[in-house]
Amino acid sequence: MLETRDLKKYYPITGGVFKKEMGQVKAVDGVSLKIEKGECLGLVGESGCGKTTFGKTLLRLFEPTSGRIYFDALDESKARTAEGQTTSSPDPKESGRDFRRCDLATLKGARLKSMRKMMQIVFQDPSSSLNPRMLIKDIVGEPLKVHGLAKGLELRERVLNLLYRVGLTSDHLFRYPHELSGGQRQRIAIARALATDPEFIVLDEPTSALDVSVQAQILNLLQDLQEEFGLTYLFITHHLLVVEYISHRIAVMYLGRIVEIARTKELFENPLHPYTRALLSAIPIPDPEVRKERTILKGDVPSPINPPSGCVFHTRCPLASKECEEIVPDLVSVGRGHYVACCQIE
Amino acid sequence: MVPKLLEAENLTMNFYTYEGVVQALDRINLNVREGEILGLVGETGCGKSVTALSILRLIRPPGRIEEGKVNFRLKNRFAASKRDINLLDQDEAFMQKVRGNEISMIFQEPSEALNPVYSVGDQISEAFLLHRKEELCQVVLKRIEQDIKKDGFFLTRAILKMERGIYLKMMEKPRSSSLKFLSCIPGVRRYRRRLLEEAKRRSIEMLRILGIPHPEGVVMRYPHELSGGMQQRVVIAMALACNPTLLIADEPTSNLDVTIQAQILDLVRKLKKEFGSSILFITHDLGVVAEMCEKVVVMYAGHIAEVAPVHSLFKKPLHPYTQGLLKSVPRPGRKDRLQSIKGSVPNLISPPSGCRFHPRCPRVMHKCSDAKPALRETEKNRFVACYLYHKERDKDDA
Repeated sequence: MLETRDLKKYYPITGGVFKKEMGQVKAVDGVSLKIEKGECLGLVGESGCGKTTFGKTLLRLFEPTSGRIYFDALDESKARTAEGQTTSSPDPKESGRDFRRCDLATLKGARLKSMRKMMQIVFQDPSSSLNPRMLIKDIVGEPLKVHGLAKGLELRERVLNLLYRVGLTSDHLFRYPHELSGGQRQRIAIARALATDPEFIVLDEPTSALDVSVQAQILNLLQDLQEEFGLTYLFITHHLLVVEYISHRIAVMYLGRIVEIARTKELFENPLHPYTRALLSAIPIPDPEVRKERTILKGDVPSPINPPSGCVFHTRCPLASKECEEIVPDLVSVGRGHYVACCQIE
Repeated sequence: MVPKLLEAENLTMNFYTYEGVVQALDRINLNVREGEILGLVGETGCGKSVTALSILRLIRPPGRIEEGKVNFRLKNRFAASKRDINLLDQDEAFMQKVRGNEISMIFQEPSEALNPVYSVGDQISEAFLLHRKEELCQVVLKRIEQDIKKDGFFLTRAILKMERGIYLKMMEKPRSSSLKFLSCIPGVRRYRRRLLEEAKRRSIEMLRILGIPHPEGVVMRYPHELSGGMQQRVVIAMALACNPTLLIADEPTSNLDVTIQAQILDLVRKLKKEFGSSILFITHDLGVVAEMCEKVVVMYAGHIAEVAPVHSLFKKPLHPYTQGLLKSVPRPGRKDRLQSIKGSVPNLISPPSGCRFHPRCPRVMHKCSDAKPALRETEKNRFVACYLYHKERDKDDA
């Protein structure tokens, strides 16, 4: 459904009187991956490794420096007729499975805007992603207005429907975000993302600002919605237990590069990349009976302004050798849909 | 039984806001034994951090401690003998001696806990200069004596002798006004250098213990030049500088990445072994609790729900809130649906009557809304505040 090829996003560092470019922050440095329709791909990594930048670049909220983003969307004309018939999400089977592949990285203007309907995002902190001066009904209804999908009574009805679907009631229509709790705000953000019947949603740490008991509610809600609408998720998080719970596949990111991708079970049972192993061993498990051998990584994540040569992980890697400093490892398949980028693994 | 180091009795704390009185803590009982790591768990706004701040009496208006006692066992350091003291009765000057010296705290957000305009070395030195001035003076005096013995120009010897006089005065009367005056005069002020150098030397030593590479360079840096994990280590160094008997760690790792979190947790465990201090570990992460703590206190909306040793708490949680909390955490290797607690944390301006958990409780009874259930011992070392278990005991009594 969605594929990126060698996607790069560099932020320029400017300085001096003429704002000359002094260097680059290599936030996303050549990421190629595929997301299947209806799956939830977890993207894990430490802070500053480029997870969020990747998610936003996918949606063209940031301009990619280079690379391609292919998105298989329903053919626009067909989608429109399907929408005319029913207000719910157009079922690809009914509309004849007419997919069209387009390169998001080069789309412009009206065509980009029409694609934006298909892709939505839920941000990390609901208190800063909702406008404090807008009523809930306006927040949830705004995407519908922007894309001209509904107005008047129909708009109101669709907003109400969306609220019911995320577990809120009509009482919440005329309230401001500050009147709601954190969990409810995140539900509003999810309702807003669902408003345009998207096919693909980027979830950028949707639960990390929430408490555990509320986090469970939101995770369950997200799973229900995925089943109901056949949504595709990119779930960005640093919390490994959450990602294990919700994703079908997991991609591990380190300093702007993907180091390992595998099915969730495979990754947790048989992690191959030394970084993945260290990451998994560092999870605090909520069970005092489990005592495990930890690999504690030394030092911090290097700066993405001048990342280490060769394999970016070699400065902290327990298995590092001479060749790691020189060769940039590619993502290689080791079978069962498991890909890993490490020189030390045959 | 290991003696109690800190005991909070009926601690009640309110915030007086425009919307009303926020009843943040309602008659909390809590104790930390010597050499123990006590975990304090709960969701946001349940009063974990406020408990810590109340113990240190760092509550600022509109907050006010209404009643209760915080008994603390002082070490020999500045009391004649070991004795319990109610911290809430003491004056501010006494509390300043306790803070950072006997009880110290690691704050949640290291970048906010550090002052951006002072170097890291200055900030760690501050703890030594405040609480260990006498020790520092003694070391400095010894060094001056050595320098005087060396043959030198008569003028340098005279200056050294003058410095010796100042330091002797400092030992006698640390807060004298003449010293304050001297430290304002340019040139004469130089005498302070030796003291600051000694404090810096100790700071470097402290950072070395915490496993920071090149501590000599790091002390010169400013907080923004360090990464999150390093900043947290600096905060820990400040907290441990005076070897406190009780360390309060308020979510020390919740803003850090998992690999850095593992480093910090490992460090805290090592330090506990080395320094032998007790730790009150505040967190919302049940995984961290399972790994770090020996005993756990579960808090909900300003009440204590349950107190139990870690193993039995995770094996058999008693309070319905603890049960719900444990069920809502994703666990490795399990794909079954998460069970969440319905609703959300109540507003503490008008908290639910009786047991504050009853509107969300799956096993609610009639009397739950009438009165607050007392914390009772159901098994050895296990306390729970829930009528479900009171009934069982009442039956046993009958």
